[in-house]
Amino acid sequence: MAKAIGWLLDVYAEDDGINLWLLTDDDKRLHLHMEFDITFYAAGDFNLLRQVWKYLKEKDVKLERTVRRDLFLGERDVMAVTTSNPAGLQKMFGELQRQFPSLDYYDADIPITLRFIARTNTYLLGRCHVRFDDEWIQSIEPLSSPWEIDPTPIPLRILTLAPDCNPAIRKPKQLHVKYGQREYSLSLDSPRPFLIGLKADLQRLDPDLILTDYGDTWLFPQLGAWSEETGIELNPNRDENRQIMTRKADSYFAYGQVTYRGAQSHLFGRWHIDRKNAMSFGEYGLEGAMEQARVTGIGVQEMARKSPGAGITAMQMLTALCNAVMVPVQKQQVEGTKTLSELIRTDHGGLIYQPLIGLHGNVAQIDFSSMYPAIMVKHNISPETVGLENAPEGLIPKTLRPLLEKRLMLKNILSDLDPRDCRVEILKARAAALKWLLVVCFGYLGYKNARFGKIESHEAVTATSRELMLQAKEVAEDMGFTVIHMYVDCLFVQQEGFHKPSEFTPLMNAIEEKTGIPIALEGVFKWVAFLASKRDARVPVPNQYFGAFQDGTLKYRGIELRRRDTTLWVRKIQLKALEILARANTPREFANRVPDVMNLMEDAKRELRIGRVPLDELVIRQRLSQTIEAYKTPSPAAHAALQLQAHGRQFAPGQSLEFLFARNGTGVHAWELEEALDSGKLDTKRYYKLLDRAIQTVIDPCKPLLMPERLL
Amino acid sequence: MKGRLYSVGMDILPVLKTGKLIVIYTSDAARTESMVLIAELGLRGAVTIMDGGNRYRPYQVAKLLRTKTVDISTAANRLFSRRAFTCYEMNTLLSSTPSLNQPYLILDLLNTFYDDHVPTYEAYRLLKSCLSQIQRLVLSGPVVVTLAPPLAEERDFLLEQVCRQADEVMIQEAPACQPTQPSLF
Repeated sequence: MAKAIGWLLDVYAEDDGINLWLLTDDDKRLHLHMEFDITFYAAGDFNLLRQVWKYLKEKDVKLERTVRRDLFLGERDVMAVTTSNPAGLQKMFGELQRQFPSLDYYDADIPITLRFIARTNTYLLGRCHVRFDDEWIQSIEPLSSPWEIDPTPIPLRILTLAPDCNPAIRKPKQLHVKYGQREYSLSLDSPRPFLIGLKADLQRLDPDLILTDYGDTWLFPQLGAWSEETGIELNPNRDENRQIMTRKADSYFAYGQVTYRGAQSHLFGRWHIDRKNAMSFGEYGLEGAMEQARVTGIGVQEMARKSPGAGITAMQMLTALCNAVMVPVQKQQVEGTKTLSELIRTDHGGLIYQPLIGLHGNVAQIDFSSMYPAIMVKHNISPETVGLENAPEGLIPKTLRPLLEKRLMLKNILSDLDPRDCRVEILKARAAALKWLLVVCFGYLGYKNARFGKIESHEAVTATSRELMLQAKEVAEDMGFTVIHMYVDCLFVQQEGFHKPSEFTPLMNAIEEKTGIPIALEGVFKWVAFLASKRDARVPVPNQYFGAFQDGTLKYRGIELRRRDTTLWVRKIQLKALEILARANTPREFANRVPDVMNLMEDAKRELRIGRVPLDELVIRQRLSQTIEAYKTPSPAAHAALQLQAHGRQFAPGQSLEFLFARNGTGVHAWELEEALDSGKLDTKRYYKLLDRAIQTVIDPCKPLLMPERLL
Repeated sequence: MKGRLYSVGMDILPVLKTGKLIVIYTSDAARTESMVLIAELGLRGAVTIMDGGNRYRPYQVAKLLRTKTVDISTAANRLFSRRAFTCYEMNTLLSSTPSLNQPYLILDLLNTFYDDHVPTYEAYRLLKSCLSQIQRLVLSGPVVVTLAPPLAEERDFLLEQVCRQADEVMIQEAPACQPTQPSLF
């Protein structure tokens, strides 16, 4: 019997079990197989279950009556259906569900990787020891845990492929190839030599990861078309028996906006990640995607393209599988009955205070660390435990506890490291990836498609958070602090004579002792500005502020700089203005810097007027919220889409459009149009307005300081 | 459709009777009208509200009650509501609602059935099940269902399915677009 030790790269279903790819310590890529039975359950009316029995007994499955646990209903009599063909499960279940739609089904749509982890305790990207006979695994033993803080790095071979331009705008001429330190280009003029070159590279380099730009939406579909055209077979999979798995493009509504997800191309035996079609790749890169894959149990190429919500759902499924709880295909739990008074009392979000408008000096910002997940874990808030006293640890806290602990440990390590340390970027990416999983876990308590969600548990978390914030406020005020602002999980406090970080430590200790939730000092602002509503100067806007910490670092939220639809030009000037203001050490000095900001703005306008601002800095990016035809009054993005549609381009809701403000009939000029905009046609007045607004935002808070002098 | 057609402007209260299913169909699932109706019914007795489209506005109802009575809490404590966020939940919600001698309001019943992630055959099956539960409730108290149009025409049949079962259907008439002669001066 052969043995191997290495990292588990990939797991996927096959007709007779599962396929595994192992990257061994001696740098081999082993393709192994494993027998793997899969069981799902059906519950409901016994007469119907008898019919199901008759329907399934002709098929190649094992049927059994058993008792399993539903998280909400407790023990249930169910029919267990076991198949040894994991790849055929989806089809068989689909047919069964169509035949018997009114039954409750469990464990029928669990990703194969999660089933594998639950059975072997061997995680994706984790190290393991396998014994195998003729490529068939006899035993597998985990050698690492996903919760290790410092996992052994995987020596991945990464091949990067990127065209020389965005294929949606114009036809690329070259494909840039990067492998290790080597970089070169393949010409795209003729498909035949290109395919031969790429095929040779794939065979020679045998990459574990093909990292592309536009691989999903252009390169892989194009490779297929060229392959057909030239007759040159090119299979980018490492598993030669497989073809590329493609998924169609779609638009979906999530987090308050319509999002477009391009078509996808997944590989077998190696990964393909399209950096332009991976949801949060820009934020935490490959390290973050791998960290999420490690802890969620979803493959890297899937996780890179999915939302963190899919990751947290997978983690909950895994916890359920490991605790012999069935995972329902459809959540059925509904909200309990509430009277109008109860609904008004309970249906709230986090606590948001009305900040004191204007500039404030020496203000400390203190944040509860991962407040909502910490509340769920500490107070055992889970859909099945909400409202119960002394309930055993619920499924959600059980899922979140290791995640929360790991993130806090990573953050602690980061805070001890020198910022120049080469590990900092990697640790930051991993901490950010975990943070996103924690951020969405709260929303998933109330999310309609969550497998284990219940609106009451969602409400319980926000109710607890409001109570804890009020407790923190009372502690701060008892210690003589003025609470200037509170926003969901952070407080801004000030006390005469307090400006060193250490002076706020007793306050944080007292809050932590009172609430039981860890709290950390974000920093002490030299000055911080809370903004007033542009419509009514008496009304504060809770989520708009900016300030400079004592080391000059800026922090800004909710202002133009943070908005995706602000042009790069406006963002640059607003940031420069803030940098000028950050030199001020007090609110009074802030006011003295305002003339410098005004000069900066005038210079910027002059540059624009004489055409010195590159057009790409003036591009505005907006999403289409619906199909173009659905717009009664087309938005600027819709106008840009219409211009491109006239040139044959198609758009789906959620897709972003780039355009310039122009002096023409529609007021916009689509950036992707072949003919460039004549700079004389640029609508400079519109850009001036955008800049005026952005500068007004940053200088407005010091108005009260300037007024008396003017009056004098 | 077995019932009569009305325009939404009419007073719904006089036609509310046990054994009657009243459907109100407008572009926004009678957002304002339904809140007024809830407040009016709350002043008279217990009401069960089932919300399928996040249409229930508790503050708006509280404000409306305030204009009618100083004793808000009595009315507020007899307005019982539950929300469904998927059509599966709507089905569970209806089947777990007891038959009581009081009015039932089902807000934006079809909203979750318009979700394109739910296969058409599944939406049809679940709605059929929901309608049989609604028929059960009709036997014990009047039921008012509000509806909004689907985003895609393919789901129009769901509207018809509900309206076919209704005793009265009230439809908001779209403002008539009359040709107007431009003035000369």
